Amino acid sequence: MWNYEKRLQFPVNIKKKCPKTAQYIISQYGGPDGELSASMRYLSQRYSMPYNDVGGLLTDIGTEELAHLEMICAIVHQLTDNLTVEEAKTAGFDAYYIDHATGIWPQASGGIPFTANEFQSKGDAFADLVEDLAAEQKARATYENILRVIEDEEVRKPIIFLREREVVHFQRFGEAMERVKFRLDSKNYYFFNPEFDKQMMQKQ
Amino acid sequence: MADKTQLLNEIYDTSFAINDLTLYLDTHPDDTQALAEFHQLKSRRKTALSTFEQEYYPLTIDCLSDNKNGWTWGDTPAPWKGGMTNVEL
Repeated sequence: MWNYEKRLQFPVNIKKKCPKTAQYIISQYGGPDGELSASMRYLSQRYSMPYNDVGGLLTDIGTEELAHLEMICAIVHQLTDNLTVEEAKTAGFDAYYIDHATGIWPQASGGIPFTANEFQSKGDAFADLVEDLAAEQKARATYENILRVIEDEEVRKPIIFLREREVVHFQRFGEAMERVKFRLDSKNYYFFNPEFDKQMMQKQ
Repeated sequence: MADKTQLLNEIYDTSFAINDLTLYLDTHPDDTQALAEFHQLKSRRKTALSTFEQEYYPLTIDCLSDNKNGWTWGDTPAPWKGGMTNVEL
C-alpha cells in the first residue's frame, strides 16, 4: 500500500529547454542502472527476505526510489516541454520524438527499452544484498557521468541530490548485510547459508 | 498568512530528515537519540502539512480537511508543473 504526496522529494525547476540533456537523463529512468529498475529490484526482493528488519529496509529504499524516478521524469519533462519539431530534429531527440513525441517512456539513453532483465530477485539474502550494493555504486557512477557533461545548474542540483542518495543507500545496505552476517549459522560456510533450505534461520 | 516559501521549506526539510532517519533507524533501531529526533521532526512535519493545507492546498489525501472548498485534490498543480517553484533549498 502506498500514499501519494503531491511534491517531489527534491524540487525540480528547470527553465531552459534542452532535448539533448533529456536524452542523457532518461537513462536514469529506464536504463540499466536507472531508478525504475532500482525500485523494482528492492520491492521484488523483500518478499523472500528472511529477516523482517532487512525486508523493511528494502521497502523503505524501494519506496524512495519511486520518488527518484518521479524526479528523473520531471527533469526529462521540463527539458522537453513545449518542444518544437525543429528543436526535436536538430537536438538528437528525433528518434525518441517519432515514437513518443514528448511523452515519458522508460528507456536507456541509447534507446534500449526498460527490461526486467536489468535486475534480479534471487530468493537468496546474500545474493540479493550483494546485487543491491553493486546497483547503488553503478547508479552513483552513472550520475557522475551525467554531471561531467551537464552544465545547467538547474539540472545539476537535483542530479547531485540523487547521487548523494546512492551513497547513503549503499551505506544502509552495507549495514543490513552486517546485521544478516551476525545472524548466520557460524558452523556453515561464511556467507553461504542458503535461504531456500532455511539454514539461515538456525541461529534465530 | 504564513509565507509559502517558508512553509514549503519546512515541509521539505522535515520530510527529508524523516526519510533519511527512517533508513538510519532501520539499521540502528537502538539509537534512542535518533529516535527522539525522528518523533520531534514528525510532529513539525505534521503541523507544516496541515498549515499548508489550510492556507494553500492539500499535499496528501490525509490533509484534506472539511468540505469547505469541495473536492480540491485535482485542482492543485502537479509537482513537475511548477508546483514547487517556491521551494528554496
